[in-house]
Amino acid sequence: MNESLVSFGCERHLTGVLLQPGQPSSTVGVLLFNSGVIHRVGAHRLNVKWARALGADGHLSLRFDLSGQGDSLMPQRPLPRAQQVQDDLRHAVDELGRAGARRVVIIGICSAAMHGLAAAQRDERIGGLLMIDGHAYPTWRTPWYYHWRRISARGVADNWRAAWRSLVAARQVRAAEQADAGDADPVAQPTREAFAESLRLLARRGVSVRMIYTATWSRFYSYPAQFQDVFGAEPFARQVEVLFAPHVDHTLTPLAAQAEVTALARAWLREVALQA
Amino acid sequence: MTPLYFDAAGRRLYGVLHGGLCDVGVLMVGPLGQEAVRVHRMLRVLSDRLSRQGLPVLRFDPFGSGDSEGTDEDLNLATWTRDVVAADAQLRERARCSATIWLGIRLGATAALLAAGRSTPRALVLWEPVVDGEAYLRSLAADHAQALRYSFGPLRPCDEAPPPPAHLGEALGFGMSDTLCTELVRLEHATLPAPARACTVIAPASHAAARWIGAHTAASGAAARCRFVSFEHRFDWTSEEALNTALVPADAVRLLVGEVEASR
Repeated sequence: MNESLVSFGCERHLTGVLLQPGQPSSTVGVLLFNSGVIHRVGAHRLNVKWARALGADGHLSLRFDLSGQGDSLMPQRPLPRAQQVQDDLRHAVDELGRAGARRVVIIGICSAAMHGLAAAQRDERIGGLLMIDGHAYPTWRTPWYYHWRRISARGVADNWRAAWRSLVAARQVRAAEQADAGDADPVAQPTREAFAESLRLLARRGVSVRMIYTATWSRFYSYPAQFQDVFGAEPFARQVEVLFAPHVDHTLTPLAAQAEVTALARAWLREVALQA
Repeated sequence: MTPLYFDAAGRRLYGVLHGGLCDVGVLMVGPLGQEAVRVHRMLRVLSDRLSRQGLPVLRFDPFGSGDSEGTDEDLNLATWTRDVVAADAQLRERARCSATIWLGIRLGATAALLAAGRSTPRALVLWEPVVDGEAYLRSLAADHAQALRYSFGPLRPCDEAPPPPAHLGEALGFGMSDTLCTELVRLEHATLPAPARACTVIAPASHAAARWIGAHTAASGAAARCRFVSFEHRFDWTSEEALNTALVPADAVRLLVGEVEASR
């Protein structure tokens, strides 16, 4: 496989690494980019590891930095952040198209998953999403499972200590929320109905959607059937595959967790490539 | 800012060159693993500041890290030191520098120190060099366990005792080869060479590097070319997000820019 540097975007201000497989097996291109403040290599260098593992299977990929992050510059006239991210993603999909991709999939953790979902709604070239700890919609059962798991995992003394820490933390969170009240959140949680509408749209277009929820997200997603409890009546619920993974963490810190999710991504991409 | 790939004896490395041409350039040697991810933004800001002051800067990913070729497990101190020398040659060639200053951070500072014997940097600026490898491995193991506790809370499947330092295997999401771990176990004050060049060591007063540089200057009479700058900070080297500490601490950037300028 060959990795080369690419500069693209309206002012060529975006920097990325295009990986072209030695023996292409599909016309699917994989798009990888920043999660939160982490530059394009990803948490624990996951974007590089994923790009190379998928490249070994014959898939093209582009990992790049959004405007102003990592090694990318800001454009002369930046848009509001959420719009700028979507503009960057459109240019990245263009770049993958120039390299030969006919269908693009996005793999992202947290904010990258959320930006990916927004991009897939706007861009019909995006045919797949693997979202790790993206938007989640709790039910009345979610806090019960969340607290029950935690309480049963601790001893009595630890539970008292945790209760005290929760009280202190709640005050700190309230103070932080008041301090941040003026900041616009670029990946604000859509309403449940808006999220459902997104998934309806993607299902109509045949976009393959996989979601993984980890232990770190268990405050928002805490039991396997939660997605079905919320969206089970929707036709798209049969198409979206959701994995509750309480044995892995948000950024896949243990190498075993990285290997597990990489294997899952490889299998998923084989399916997407076959559909394409 | 020009991203580039360059060759280091058959190893393809990724780097970013900031600034234009000058007879003095700065080579950034970043830290290991999660620490490298954590300081990436700070290195970019530092590089921008130094290049605005007329100094070309090259920052790079050693083999087995970042966007360079190689897996996590390919990274070790032997190849890292060779990569530092190769990156220095790139900087001299591309920015037409006749002299270079190496700014190393944490284990990158140690790699720079080890590589300095094989090259001719004008000066070294070393921020918290790792001078006790076994203690460093133990701290990585502790930080790894802490990161998992933070991520999982009480749901952590089990709290296993960490493997021995020479076989750590992984830390904070990055694979660590036995070669690297063994090199680190052997890395201690006594085995580290005395700085062969003008050298500024920046660390908290209680840091092991303070004792190391003190012992060397006393033993070798190198006091004239070695300087210790005490610098206390709250920067968290391994957290995944800023977690209540600045991503780019202004006081650290100011100090490092000042020390590089003073070495010019």
